[in-house]
This record gives sequence, C-alpha cells and structure tokens, in this order.
Amino acid sequence: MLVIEGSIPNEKINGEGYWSSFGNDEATGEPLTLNWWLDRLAPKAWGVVAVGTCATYGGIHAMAGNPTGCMGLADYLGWDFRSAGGLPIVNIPGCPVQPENFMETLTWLLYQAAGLAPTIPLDEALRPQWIFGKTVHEGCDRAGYYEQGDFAKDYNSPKCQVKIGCWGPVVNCNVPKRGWMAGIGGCPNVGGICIGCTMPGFPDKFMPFMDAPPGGGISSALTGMYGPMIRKLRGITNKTMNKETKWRHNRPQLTTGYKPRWGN
Amino acid sequence: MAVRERIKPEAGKLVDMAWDPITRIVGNLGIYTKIDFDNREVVSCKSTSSLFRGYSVFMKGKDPRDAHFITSRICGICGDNHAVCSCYAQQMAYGVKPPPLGEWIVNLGEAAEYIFDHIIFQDNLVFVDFCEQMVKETNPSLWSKAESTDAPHAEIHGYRTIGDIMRSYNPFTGETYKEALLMSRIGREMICLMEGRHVHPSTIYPGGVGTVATPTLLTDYLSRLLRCLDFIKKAVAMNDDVFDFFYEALPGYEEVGRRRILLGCWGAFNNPLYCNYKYTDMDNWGNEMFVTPGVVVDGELVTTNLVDINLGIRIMLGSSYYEDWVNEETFVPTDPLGNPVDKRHPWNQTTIPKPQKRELEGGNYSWVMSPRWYDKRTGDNLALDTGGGALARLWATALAGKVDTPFVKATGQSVLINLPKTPNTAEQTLEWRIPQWSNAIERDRARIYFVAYSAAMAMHFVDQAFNEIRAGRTKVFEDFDVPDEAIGCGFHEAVRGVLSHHLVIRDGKIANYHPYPPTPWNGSPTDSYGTPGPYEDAVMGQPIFEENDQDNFRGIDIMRAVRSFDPCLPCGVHMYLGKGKTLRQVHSPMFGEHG
Amino acid sequence: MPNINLGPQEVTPDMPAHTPGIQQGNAKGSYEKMQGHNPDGTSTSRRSTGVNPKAQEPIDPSMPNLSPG
Repeated sequence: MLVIEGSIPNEKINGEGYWSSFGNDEATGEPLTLNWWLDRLAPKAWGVVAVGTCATYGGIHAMAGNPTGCMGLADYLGWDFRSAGGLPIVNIPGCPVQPENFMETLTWLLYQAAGLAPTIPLDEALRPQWIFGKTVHEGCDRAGYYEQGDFAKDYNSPKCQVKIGCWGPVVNCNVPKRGWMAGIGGCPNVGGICIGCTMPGFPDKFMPFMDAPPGGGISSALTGMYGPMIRKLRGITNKTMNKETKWRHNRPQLTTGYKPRWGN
Repeated sequence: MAVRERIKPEAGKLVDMAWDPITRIVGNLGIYTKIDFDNREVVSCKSTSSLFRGYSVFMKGKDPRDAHFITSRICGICGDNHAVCSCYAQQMAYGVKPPPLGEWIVNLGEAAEYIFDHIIFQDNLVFVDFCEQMVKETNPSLWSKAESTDAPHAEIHGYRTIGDIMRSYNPFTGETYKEALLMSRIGREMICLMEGRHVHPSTIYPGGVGTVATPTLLTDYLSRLLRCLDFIKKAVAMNDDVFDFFYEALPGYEEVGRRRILLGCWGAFNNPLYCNYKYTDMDNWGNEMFVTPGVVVDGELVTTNLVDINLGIRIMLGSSYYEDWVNEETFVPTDPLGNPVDKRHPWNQTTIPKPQKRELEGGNYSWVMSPRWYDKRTGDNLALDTGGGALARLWATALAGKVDTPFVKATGQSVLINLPKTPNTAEQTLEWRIPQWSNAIERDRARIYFVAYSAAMAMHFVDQAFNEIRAGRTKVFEDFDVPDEAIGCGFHEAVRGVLSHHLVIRDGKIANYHPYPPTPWNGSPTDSYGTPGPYEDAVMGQPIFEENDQDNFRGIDIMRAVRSFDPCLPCGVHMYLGKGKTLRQVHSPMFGEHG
Repeated sequence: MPNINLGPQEVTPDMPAHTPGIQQGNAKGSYEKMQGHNPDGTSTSRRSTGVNPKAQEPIDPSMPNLSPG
C-alpha cells in the first residue's frame, strides 16, 4: 500500500534543479525527486492512496501563480491509473485530512486486501462515497438557522454562516457531522466558515474565503422571505411545548384522568 | 564564498556520513557531515533542505484576508501558529483589535498547541534517542550504569532507576511513550475546542475568532488540561533525572550540540489589556506578552523591544537556490516610526526561485535561506537559533523578569511555574533556572519545562476567559475593512521557535508576504558571509560519545544534537542512507568544503 | 523567471482576489446589524435563537445573558 501525502511538483520545468526530494542517487550524489520515487513505487503497490487535498488534487501549493507547477497524484499518474491490486487511486481529501476519515479508509482497504471486504466504493473524484457523499450543509447543526432565514452577518454569531463565506451548501464533506477528532471541533458547526478544503476546486474557486459566496445570495434571500414566518409559527408551538400539562399540581384532588379499569 | 575552515591539518581519516532524511517528522532535512573517527569529532556539517513550495511567490495578488488560511498550510504540525501569526500581522495592517475574549481564546488554543506538540516531540520522538533500546545499542556501558543508578525523583514519577525510566520510553511498548501519545491527543482536542480544528484552524480570523464562547467550552478545555497536568508533573521529573544522569555518566556530554548562546524569541500570548496591534506601540505591548520577546547573546539580554527585533531581521543568501533581490522593488523603505528598513528585511524581500543542481562542495545546497539578526552593537549578522523554541522562550522570559501571573513568574534568573493540585497529583512548584550552556540536553530539558509553563499559563487564560464569559461579554470578533495600502508584521512563537509574518498590501491585494518560521533560522545553510547555520555549527566540532565503531556507527550524538532543535522540515521514518565511505587520508588543510 | 520553463498563462495570480462590491464577512457595521448583539459586547437570547427568544432570557437582571453556542 502506497500512501502519498503532499502535492506532486512538476519536475519537468526546472532544468537540473529539483522541487522536492527524498534521499540521494548513489551514483551522482544528487537528490532523488519525489517523482522518481513515485514512478518506481506506484506501479508495484497493491493500492495507492492519496491523503490530504495536496496529494489528491494539488491543493494550496497548486494555486494560481505557483512556481512549482504542482498537482494531485491522479494528475501525475493519470486519472485512469490502476494499481497492482486493480484499484483506482483512492483519494481522501481534506486540508488537512480529517484523521478518522483517513484511518477508516485505510482499514477498509486492508480488509479488502485480505479478501474480507468488497471493492471500496469511490465517487467520480475517487473519494470514499460514504464519507463524501453529502454536503457540509446537509450535516451542519447550523443549517436550522438557514431554514428560518436567520443568518450570521459577522463571525460573532452562532448562526448560519452562508452569507459570510461558508460554502457548506455545495461542498462534499462529513466534518460537521463527525467533528474534527473524537467528535470535537469541526468547521461551520463551531464557527469556522467552510472554505471547501476537500474539493478539487480548492483553493482558487473558493477565494477570497471571507467573501459571501455568489450562489448563497439567491437561496438565502428566499428563506429570508418565509423564514420569519416559520420562526413565528415555531415560536407559538415552542411556547406551548414549554408549558407543563395542567394536571400536575398539589391540590387535594386527582385530575389526571385516572380510571381504575378499561372502559368507563 | 568563504566558508569557515574547520578541518585541522592533523586530522586523521575523514569519513563522510550523511543522514538524509534526519527528522522523524517530514523528510526533507538532510545532514551531511565529515567525521574524524581517530579523534572522535565531527569536523564539518552541512544542513540541507530539499523542498520548495513557494508560499511567498503564490500569495502575491491574493486577498490579504486569505493569508492566515493559506499560511496555516505551511506546516502540518504547527499550522495554527502560522494562522495566528498571520492574523497578528493582518490585524496590524487593518488596524483592528480583537475583543479580549477573542484574544484569550487564541491564547488557550496556542497554549494547547505547545502542550500537544512539545509532548509528542519530546516523549515520542526525542526520547527514542534516550530510550533503553537506543542506549543499549549505541552505549552499552552507559546502559548498565543506568540500570544501577537510582532515579532521584522516584517518589514523583514512580520509576526506581534511570534504566526503568529509559525503558518506559521504548517506542510503542514503553508506558511513558504510550501515555504521551494519549496526552498529545488530549492536547489536540483542546486545540479543536478553541480553534475548531488541528492543524489548520477553522475558527481563527483576523479580528478575532468565530468560536462560540460558553462555560461549556471552557469546562471541556479545563477538564482536559487537568488530566494533562498529572502527566506533566511526572514527565518533568523523569526528564530531569535522565538528563542529569547523562551529564554525570558521560563527562563532557555538555559539548554535544553546544553552540554559542545566540537565542531569539519573538514572544507569545498577547495580553489584550495592552495589545492594540499598532506598530508604533509595539515595544510596549510586546513587553506585556506572557512569553517575553528577546534576543540573548552570550547570556546577555540584548533587547526585548519588538521594533528592534523587527528591524534587525536580515535574510541572507549564500548557499540557497534563489536569485538575489538587491535590484528588486523596495516595498517598505521606512517603518511607521520612521526607522530605515534594510533591503534584506522580509518586507523588502522578493523571492525568485532558481532551481539548480545541489553542490555540497562550495556551491548552493538548500532551499532554505539564511535568516540572521543584525546586532547593531557589533555590526554582526548573528545566526540566532531558537533552542528548539522552549530554551529561547524560557531564557528571554527569565532574564527579562516581566511575566508575573498567579501561575508563572519570571525572576530575572529563573522562571517559577506553579501547577495546581490535580486529580492524581499534589500541587507542585517548578523552577527552570538559566543553564550554563546552550546545548542539546538543555534544549531538550527546556522543552518539558515549557510544557509546564504553557499548562500553567493556560490555567491563567481559563480564569481570564471565564471572567469575560461570566460577565456576559460574549463578543469575540471585531469588524474591519481592508485598506488599499498597508503594511503589517506579526510576531509569535511557533512551537519550535521564532515566527514572523511580514505583509505588504497594495491595491487591497497582497503585494509581498514573507513568513519566517523557526526552521529556516535553525536549519539555515552557510550564508554569504560564511557564517554557518545553527545546526551546522552546533554539530561541527562536537565530540562523539557513541561506543560503536565506524562500521556500526549510528550517529546518535549528532542526531541528538540536531533533533534537540526540534527540526520540522517538511519524514515519518528514521532512515539512514549510505554506509559512510572513507574519503581519503587527509594531510592538508585545503581539503574540504571551502570554495 | 530563470530556470523555469514558462508556458502561456491560463490564469492570472490575482484571479482569486476580492471583487469590489461583494459582501465581506468582516465588513464594518455588520455587528450592529445583527439582532441580539449589544453594542457593549454583551448579547441577548436573540443571538442564538429565532424561536421565542424572549422566553429564553435570564429571569433576573443579576444573571448574565449566556445564549448557547
């Protein structure tokens, strides 16, 4: 199993230099590039796993204006790459990767390698489907505010952050559901806008992170219309539900409707 | 290029020995040495980095408010330190001061980072070099002595002999090793509480935090902190016992990793009562930080003024793969106080990568540049190190004598750390005293003391944050607008030492951005003046205590020296390449690395 | 840039920068626009809920207002 972390620089563009290396060529004494290692290790591995958004899709170091031409592993090896075990590259994106997502995926692969699990289900971006198959917003405990048209206007607010930079409604990730580690932390659920760090389009398509995302305006305007009414109606019901039933008292007579027998 | 000549004419057989990678964290730091086995001494050392990503290149033209999100990604261990430092720089540029509660939350997150990172590095990585398995292999006679030496602090940590302590540090099987893994995990949970995620925070913004501050948040943090404190009290005692044993059992061991006392600390934990992020007041609020900034040269505290510290920073080339920027644009000719800013200062640096072959002999050999600090008293460009972070922080703070809280007090010669009673251990007062040397053992010792320091400061921050919350002051973020033109600088301590971010905004976009984390300071190559970097000069000239012969040489003393700096060049493995080949019999001082 | 083979640009480095006119999450004045956030840095129940916030307020003026996260 070959697990790669970090983006793959383009070593074709830098002449005799190198961007990233590990160990030396014994003959020349010059560094051996990451690409040299990949070319030799990837075809022999039973499974190839890219962990973190740099390794999966290029990530931060691959943003506009970068000098190293770096890319994700599938961009380097080819999206149709198949490992010695017959598997596509398995991508576990996230910047950084949510640690439990990583270990869980590796565990599936180890079960699969041992013949104890079927082929790991991957989506078209080669992500484990059960982890990335829904959006941040669908798992966010602040989404209730959205429904009620109640939005944060700056970062002081514990409400829905879609108007102050949160891309949760369109980003595939389970972090608000799972938390960051042992259920603690996360992103929009704890006050951190979703900047789309699991996505192939990260980071450029989400920048500047603290600006309102373009699509959010229309859908949040709609909930802004009916949201106040929902809040009002819920307010009435909430008031009722916050009252105890009337037969709980300490008067000398029982009013609970108690009957000793079935029937009258 | 002049390079300090360290090879003695009488030197015997020189052997090339290389460790590449040498770190146990990320695999791009290589150490290339020449060892004189006849005299058991390292005669030359080069520190190389084989990784370039280009943050200061690709950040140009971006929105300055993205800077902390981007720079957090510089490091997979201390990304939050970068995010925080970037926010400090941005806050200066935007002229915004976060509400006090926002500042306490950042301090709580950063205290947890120091606790987590120092523990995992010390007890799970550094101590592999001091554990039973390693010592048995490299110094068998030392091991038998360890087994028969009583541990002075046995009543605190419960291990009878030094050998018992070393056994508990055996990787994957030792009790302390396993407990430390758990503690570092708890530390990360504490970070996640305050900053949303570890290692790239989600809730840290310029202007404050998005963390929702409630009593629940602080209770969840405090309950974890108290569990860590039980461990920390034992760990300090165990560390002290092992390090004192090394000094005693191996006379001369203080020379391992020893270099001139040249320490830099850029200060940590801003005090919201004083810090307004204005450059013109920086001397004042810098001195109110809960870790005092300072430069210590030969044991003397040269300055605690962040303005002096800022203006003294010089980025040198000499052995690095970059074009010089002498003819490029000067972005900041003078600082907001009217002081001239040097062309070699990060505000005025233009990074132009120039990939090329590595030439260890007389050429360029690293992607790391050479940060130096200009000492205006002498005109020297000093290769400051950070002492792995903790040593410089404690040293500067102790000498300055400014920090005075119920839990931590600097005395002028020492730092007193009061740790409260916790579930399984009694109250404890620790005293870290300024050591005689800046060497491998003292860097390592300072690290565990700084864990105690951070935990004690965290107790203070919890109290302060609770005061705010219980008063109903829930505001954690302050709105701001981004100016078209502005400059900013942020000073902070990454776990392994000094961290600065320098920012220039033009047209509302980033025109220049240069982060300087600790490892470029510590791991820098030889500069254009011929001054070697700290790893290089700490290893050069150091004696070899390892009992193995040349064929079975592990280089343990060299590794202890380099690792004492907490190297973090972006390795998960501990790999040894090349058996070491005999160069030739040397009879001439001309041989070697000059060029 | 020497030593690096450059091809035709597919993007400009400042493409992801701020577009004037787009609302910023940090914009001055936003705090004041939010219900439940008081000018002195304290807050009311409306900060955390839109459903019957008044009923969630502390019942005594001596109690701090700590709406949940």
